[in-house]
Amino acid sequence: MLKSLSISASGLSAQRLRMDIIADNIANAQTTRPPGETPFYRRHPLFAARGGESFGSLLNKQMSREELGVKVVSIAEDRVTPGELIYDPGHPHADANGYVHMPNVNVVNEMVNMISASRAYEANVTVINATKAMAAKALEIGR
Amino acid sequence: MKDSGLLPLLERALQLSSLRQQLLANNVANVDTPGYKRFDVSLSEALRSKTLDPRGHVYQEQRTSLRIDGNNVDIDQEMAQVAENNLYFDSVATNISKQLSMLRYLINEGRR
Repeated sequence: MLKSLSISASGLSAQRLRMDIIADNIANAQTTRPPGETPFYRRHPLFAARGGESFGSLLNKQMSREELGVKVVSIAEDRVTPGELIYDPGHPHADANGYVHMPNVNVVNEMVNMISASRAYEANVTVINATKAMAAKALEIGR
Repeated sequence: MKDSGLLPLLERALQLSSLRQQLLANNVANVDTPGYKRFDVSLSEALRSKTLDPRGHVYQEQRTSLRIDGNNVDIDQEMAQVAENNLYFDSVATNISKQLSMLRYLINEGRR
């Protein structure tokens, strides 16, 4: 029962980290850098299941606290999607042709991800509440 | 007490329900993990079998895929399963309480 709680807690912290990254992306949606410097790239977390990637490993390992749930393996930078070019010759970060390189953050995209992270967080909270109700019920046995 | 066989069975059902809660919590935690396939345990099969270790009845749904990243966790279905498991646990726990109170009634020779 307590394992269920820590599994759900790993889901909560993973979604919270995802939310932090989304906030960072949105906060830097207008961050420009002078030409020649690497621009701000949008970031996204990579999730992986702890332990039970395969059926066998779940059975063989004693299902200890650290071996179930979700973990964030890395935070990847999206260097593929091109950023917008805005013509603004007066801007201090404009290149020789007068274009300012904007970060490749799509705010609409980030907002959708934000809702998704928030819903996933809520789902984990609901499971925690269900587990809590079950544990409370088990404590009532014999009363 | 041993003759009745009901309390040990109910106890196993409670343990199974607790194991199922872990698996469901794991599924919900991995709702955004690429390539994750959901785990579940068959309660009726595990209760019918003679082996006491319920982990032999844990299975993974390998074949289905809900999204393009290979993940097959349907969050609505998972939440329904969590609610169902919650009710199941409640009913089994209530049943154990009833069994124990019947036992207490007998011990007190029907005097409460």
